[in-house]
Amino acid sequence: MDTGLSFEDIYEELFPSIYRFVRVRIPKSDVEDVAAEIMVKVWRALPSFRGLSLKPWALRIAYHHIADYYRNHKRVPKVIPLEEMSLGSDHSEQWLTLLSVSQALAKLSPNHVTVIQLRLVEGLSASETAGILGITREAVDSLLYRAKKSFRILYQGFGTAGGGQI
Amino acid sequence: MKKKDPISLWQEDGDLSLMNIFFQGVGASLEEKERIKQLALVKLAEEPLGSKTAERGAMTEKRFAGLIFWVLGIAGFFKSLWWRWRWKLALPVALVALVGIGLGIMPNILSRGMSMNQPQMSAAIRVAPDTRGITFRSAGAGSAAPGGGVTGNGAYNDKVQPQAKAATSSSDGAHSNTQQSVANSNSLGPQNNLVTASPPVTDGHVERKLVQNLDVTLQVAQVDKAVEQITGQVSQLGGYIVDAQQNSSDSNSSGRLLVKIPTGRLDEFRGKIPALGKVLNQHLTSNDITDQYYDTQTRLRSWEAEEERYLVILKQAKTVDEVLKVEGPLGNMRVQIEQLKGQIKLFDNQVDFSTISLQLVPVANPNLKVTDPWQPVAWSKTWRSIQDAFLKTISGTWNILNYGLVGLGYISPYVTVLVLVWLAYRFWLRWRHKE
Repeated sequence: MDTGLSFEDIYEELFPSIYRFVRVRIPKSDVEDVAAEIMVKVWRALPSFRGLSLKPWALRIAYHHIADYYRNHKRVPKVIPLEEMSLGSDHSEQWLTLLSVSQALAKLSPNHVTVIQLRLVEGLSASETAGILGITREAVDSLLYRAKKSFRILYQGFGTAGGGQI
Repeated sequence: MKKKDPISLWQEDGDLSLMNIFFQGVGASLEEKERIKQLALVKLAEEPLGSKTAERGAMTEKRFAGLIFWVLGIAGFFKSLWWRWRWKLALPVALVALVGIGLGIMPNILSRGMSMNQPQMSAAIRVAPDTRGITFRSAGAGSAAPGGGVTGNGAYNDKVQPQAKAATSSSDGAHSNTQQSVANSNSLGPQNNLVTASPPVTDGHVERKLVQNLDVTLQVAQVDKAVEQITGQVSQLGGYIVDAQQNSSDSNSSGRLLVKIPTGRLDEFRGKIPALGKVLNQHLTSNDITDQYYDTQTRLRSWEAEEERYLVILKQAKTVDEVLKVEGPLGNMRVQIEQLKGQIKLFDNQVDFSTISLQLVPVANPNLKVTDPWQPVAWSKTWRSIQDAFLKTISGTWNILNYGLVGLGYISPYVTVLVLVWLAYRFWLRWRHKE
């Protein structure tokens, strides 16, 4: 499909989502490299893109690329906790809350985090998420449901139950 | 609790906004974004130019590396399977083992079934010549009516089939010939052996030679007593015992008798059987040997006539040479004559004495005799049995395991095919991915 879009356009449109997706999954040292590789892959694969929405498609590429990354490095996929991240803002109260969120997410299973990110943050539909993960819509729903349960328990476990007021 | 929409669930406790805030905080700075863009552009620029030519050459190398990668991938697949299922993996493995055992046993059952069929087949084939033999006999010798007295000339019965009639009429034709040959036997040579024998006619009908056999199964109260009674009666009727067999055990005893009774008194003996016990089974067969009998007799007569002629010649012989010339054939003739006489004697015995085979079974006795009630097992035997049982269990377990392994061998072609298909699928995916 000839979208008539330049690399610039694609980059502007997809970069934030891709970066977020990569950032929480890939160790800091490799983030830039992996993000760039995914962007290249997306650009290269663009002629074969058949569909309506670019974002789910690009995220699918990112998802597989990250899986390849972990396979090649022979590591178990994980969510990178905040210690390795440097959050831009340093309002101490918010920073503490986000630290707790990050730690809770790091304790969740990677699948749960992926579902949270795709469904809640990127706003993908259940079927789009199901397509990326290779599972059924019902499974996506139940994953999201269980992710919520687990997250609540973990988050409260860090003693910041009041963090939800932000 | 009924599941509600997970999104609205996430809105509870403000978790949804928490997530959004968190992931916004994860976003890249402007410099970072720019750096990644440059990096991506560099990758975009170098790969298609640098690799397009190099790729071709590296293609085979890549493929080889890919193969190794896939092999590692398979190992990884099994490893991940193990991590995913752990002990639950035992279930499918057990299933596979069961299937294997089933497959391992299946060929056995199949081959046994085949070998079961074969004897039946051959039996069926064997039956065919038998029946042919029977029809041949009945056609050649007329109907051998069981128990049919010597009175009727069986061959000329109403029951006779057209075929049999033809046979008898032809033998009638031959009959006159023989009459002639018998009359002129003095002057006939051995070549008249070819003439078919036919029974001598006394008052217009032939004396039939019948060999009668009787099979009886008797249920008696006491086997040994019955054997005694039968032995007594047989000798009383002028018969004799050929074979006697007797088994006895605590709960069961049986006997077998093979006796010969003069044919004339067979009916008398048959009449006495019911007095000995309950007749469970009785089977009388008559074998008509009339043709063979008279054929043998005719051959004997012609040889005897020949011998007489040679004796006359011998008397006329003057030189030793002449005597020797005649003595040679004479010796041969005498051997033949003796053989035929023996044959006739045997036939006579078979005809004169009927063979009776008696099977004696005891009446089932409700009061079982209990003998040797105290039979304790010795300790040493117990110990040995324990040892044997132990070994048997071990070997049995090994055998089951063995079945499983053999079964794995059986299913290995399927597994191979599946693995190949899977590999091909992986290859295809990878290839498409690369494209």
